[in-house]
Amino acid sequence: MRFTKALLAAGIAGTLALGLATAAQAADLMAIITPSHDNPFFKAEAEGAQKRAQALGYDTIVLVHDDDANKQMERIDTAIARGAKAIILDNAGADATVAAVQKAKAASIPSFLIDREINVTGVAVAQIVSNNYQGAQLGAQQFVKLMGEKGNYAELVGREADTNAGIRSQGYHDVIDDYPDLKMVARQSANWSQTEAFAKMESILQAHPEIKGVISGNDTMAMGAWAALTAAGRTDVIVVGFDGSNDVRDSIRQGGIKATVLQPAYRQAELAVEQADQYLKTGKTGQPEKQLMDCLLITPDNAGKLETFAMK
Amino acid sequence: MAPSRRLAIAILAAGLPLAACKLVKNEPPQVASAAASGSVATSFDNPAFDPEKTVEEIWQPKLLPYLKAKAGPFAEVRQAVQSSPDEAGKRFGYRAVGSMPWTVAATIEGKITAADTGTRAATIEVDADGDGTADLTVQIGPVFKGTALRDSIDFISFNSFANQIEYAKFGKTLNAHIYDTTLAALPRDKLVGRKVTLLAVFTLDDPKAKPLVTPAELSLEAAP
Repeated sequence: MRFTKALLAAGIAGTLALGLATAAQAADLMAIITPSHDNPFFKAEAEGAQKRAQALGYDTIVLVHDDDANKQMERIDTAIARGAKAIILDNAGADATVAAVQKAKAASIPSFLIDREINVTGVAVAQIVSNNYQGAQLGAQQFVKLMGEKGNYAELVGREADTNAGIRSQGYHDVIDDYPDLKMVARQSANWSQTEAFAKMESILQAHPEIKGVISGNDTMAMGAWAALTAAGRTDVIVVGFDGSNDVRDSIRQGGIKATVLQPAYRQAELAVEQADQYLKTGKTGQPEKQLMDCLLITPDNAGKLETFAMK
Repeated sequence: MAPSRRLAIAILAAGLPLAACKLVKNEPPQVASAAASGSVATSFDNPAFDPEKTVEEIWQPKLLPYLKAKAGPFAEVRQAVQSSPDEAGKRFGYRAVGSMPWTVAATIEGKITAADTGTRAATIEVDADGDGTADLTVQIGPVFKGTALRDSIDFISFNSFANQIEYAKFGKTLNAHIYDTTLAALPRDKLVGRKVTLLAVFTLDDPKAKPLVTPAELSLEAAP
């Protein structure tokens, strides 16, 4: 598969440094850097960006930073050393990333951020993010409805260095907190991770066996929570996620997890590449730096149309 | 559209980007504990961020004149939306980026046919064409769905905020402002049958749906 090969090649290039790559290159190079592809969301993003870039005639390198700011800096260094013309980046932290993007800019390489924003403007050329607040309110409204407006619930929060964890939590609470009979008995970060969510859910269940619902900041944590609930025989608990992964889609269709919120991740990555292409050709993207894309509620009614973070 | 309105839009469009400059904050984001209001703490809570002040500063001098210049009579806006959301958006509304739906402004006169005030996300139904059936739903709070007021504004952009969290709070504060200044005082049990006049905005996320509007101004005719 071309995708895995590119990833491998990128890894080798990263360690063996410059010599290998530059000679063979005819087309301009676009670097695509995301968190680990263990989460299908980031894999879909990388694929969307890579396919679009190749269709537009670019060579690509696909790299991962595993949510480690130091590793991210190394990946940016690799992109600079390889002579990338643009960087598509899903970053490793709203504050920690500023220096990395600044470094690319100093090397005259424009960065186009997707999914996660940074806390400054004027360093990246574009920051295209899902309308997480709107999406979280959609998810919370559905959660409230499923809960019958009452009962005890837990919230699983994402990685706190990521503004998306904060904004989704805020969107959830701006809706849920208006229902006095809905009581949050636990709120824990599981760092977007399925395995961490499994462990956190197990301990939450021990402390609060009466729990009726779980609202999760993303789908991998929702999957971890659902696995723990299933293992404990508690498939009566209402779980709502966020992302729109195929895993959660399948769970929804089987009557497991009740709802999620689709982020248009695939299209978002394509859009970033298109704006990078336009910027390289004309010197501007024609759009403001910070851009939102609306999310969509996914329930059993429309789950069948969901495929790889896009509606068919 | 009357020439005077077009002129007003041009003047606003030319003058407002300057005014938006003062919103940019350069303070580094700070980690803080949960606000006294009982909201959940996030890593990005920034005590220096004061959306109430911004909203207070823009509401009368900028936002209302801007929306009045954009707005068309509801029947005209509705018809334009049904024939072409993009054309309606360009004529009566705004969107910050092509990846988002349009938000349009309208002036509405009508009669309240029903009120759902048993919930905190309270709404009224309004018949705007006199046929006895409701043509739109008006959010009267205190809980509002969406950020239509924020999304209708062309003179303050997402770029002016440190992150999505502050941008969301700005949207919520705009909703809270119309509630605190106007909607909170509505006689909620005496609304049905009354005539109402509105300046309001709604988002064309589903152009075929009955509009769910957020008011910027609302006045009730005196009780009979």
